[in-house]
Amino acid sequence: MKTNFINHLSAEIRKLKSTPIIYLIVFCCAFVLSIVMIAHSLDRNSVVLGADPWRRCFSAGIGIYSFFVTVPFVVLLVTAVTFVEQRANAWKLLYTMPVTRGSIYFSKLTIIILTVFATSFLLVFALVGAGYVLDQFLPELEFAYYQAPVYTNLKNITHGVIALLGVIGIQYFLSLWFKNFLIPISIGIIGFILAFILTTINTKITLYVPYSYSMVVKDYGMFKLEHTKGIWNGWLTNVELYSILCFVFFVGLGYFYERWRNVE
Amino acid sequence: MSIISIKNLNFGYKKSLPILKQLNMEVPVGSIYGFLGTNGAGKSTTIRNVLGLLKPQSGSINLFEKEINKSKPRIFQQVGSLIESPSLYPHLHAVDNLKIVCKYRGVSNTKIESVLEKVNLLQHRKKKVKQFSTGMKQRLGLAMALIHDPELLILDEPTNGLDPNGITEIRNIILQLREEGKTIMLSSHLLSEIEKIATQVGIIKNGEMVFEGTLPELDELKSAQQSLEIKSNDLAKTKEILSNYKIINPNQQSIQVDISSKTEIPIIIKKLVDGGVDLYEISRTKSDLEKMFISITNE
Repeated sequence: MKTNFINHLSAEIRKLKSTPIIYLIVFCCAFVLSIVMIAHSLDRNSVVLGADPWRRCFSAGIGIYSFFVTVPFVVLLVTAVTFVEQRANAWKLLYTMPVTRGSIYFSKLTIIILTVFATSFLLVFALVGAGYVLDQFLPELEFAYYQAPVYTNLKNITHGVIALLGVIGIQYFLSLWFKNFLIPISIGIIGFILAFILTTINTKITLYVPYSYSMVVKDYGMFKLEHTKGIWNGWLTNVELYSILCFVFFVGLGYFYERWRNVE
Repeated sequence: MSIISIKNLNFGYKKSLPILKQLNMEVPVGSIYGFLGTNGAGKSTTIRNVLGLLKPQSGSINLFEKEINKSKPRIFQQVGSLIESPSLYPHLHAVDNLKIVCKYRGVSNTKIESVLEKVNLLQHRKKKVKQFSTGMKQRLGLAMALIHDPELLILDEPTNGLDPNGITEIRNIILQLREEGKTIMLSSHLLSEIEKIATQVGIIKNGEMVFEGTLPELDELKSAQQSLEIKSNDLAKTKEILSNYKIINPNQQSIQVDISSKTEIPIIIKKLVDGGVDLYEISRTKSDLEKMFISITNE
């Protein structure tokens, strides 16, 4: 039996068993869903007859997710995934295995990205479920009369995740560099607050703060984004491109750091 | 044939502060190599260099007659290691910890039960590691090092923090592994442990190898290194007269003087008598490993 990247991914998944990461994913989705459902229940009188309720539901759900949830979620997720190794003092074990350091580095990163994608897609499907549940209790919202735009929103949320790659790269590098829980989380939360303030005041400085990219990649009507909204370039928006560049830079930096570092 | 061969190894976290200085080491195939040294002498640093965790400044490290820089990480397929406290995922049970190692090493999970039996943990296989005692953790760490049936086992202070029962268990496992034909390199500061199981011994001091050889060679060295215990009416004056000799273990009742042969005994007695010291007792002591180790590392 040969060792390969799939085996390493499988090892990474096993390490996350019985960790709080699954609760983190459930909490993020439940938080968004509960706000969307409460808002629909309380605000049912403002329903516009004949208008597609799914558009409002997804706009609110993905908007809340992009503005309030994604960055803190990524900050906690990345730190938790790397902290599994720090807590077990396992770097010295991993780096004496017959596998390259790069393989370990990239398998961990892959798991992080896949988890963010999976959580985001899960949210889309959960919002569809929430729409049908709302329809049972509030048929006047007319969810059953329209088809849920799943594909469009999977596409939208994919752009959101691409806009998050920069933050994933930064946080992954910080977690490996500092090798503790507190400093990467503190930097991440400061980045989130800064991005949130810059986005709400609608300043172009947000384009220099990767933590804000997932907030401005698409206008969900949460805040005024006329100066900051991502500019569509065909396949991707400008902030997605910046995010990818930031990701490549920090992942490259982290790789060279891990590749050459002495494991004390 | 040497399974580990180190030549002129130099290492330091900073160039100005070398930890290993021109270190040489040869670990023969099939031996139990006891690697001794005081805390901070460079044992763990040497082992981390051998396992590729640290990058040497200069020198060469060969495993299985291959330079590790050119043949890692593949060469580690034949190496099992346990470095200081074992690296275990505390939120997982023993079997899951072993499955993770199996995934990285590309070996089948079918050996898990047998390796747990070997380290006497089979009945605890579904217990979370955070509920394990220190000895159980150490044994699980050993199981993780053995899961792929390596030819070479490198153990850094495997008995650290264990009670006498735990030490005996680990010692028995090591002896059993040697019977299976494995080469074992283990570092320890428990000298009595090394003396009980090692066939080869290396002693490191301030990053330099000060002795390397077989146990019989060490015995020869022990015979050559003897000391004289002297009790007299005036120990201060005795020390003053024998200031040209190396005095070890001075205490309230006696002093010990290192001698290289028995011909020095009458010379010392004459000097003391001529110096006006009343001698109460003079006895010759052969050095045991512990005394010799202290003597070598204090030189």
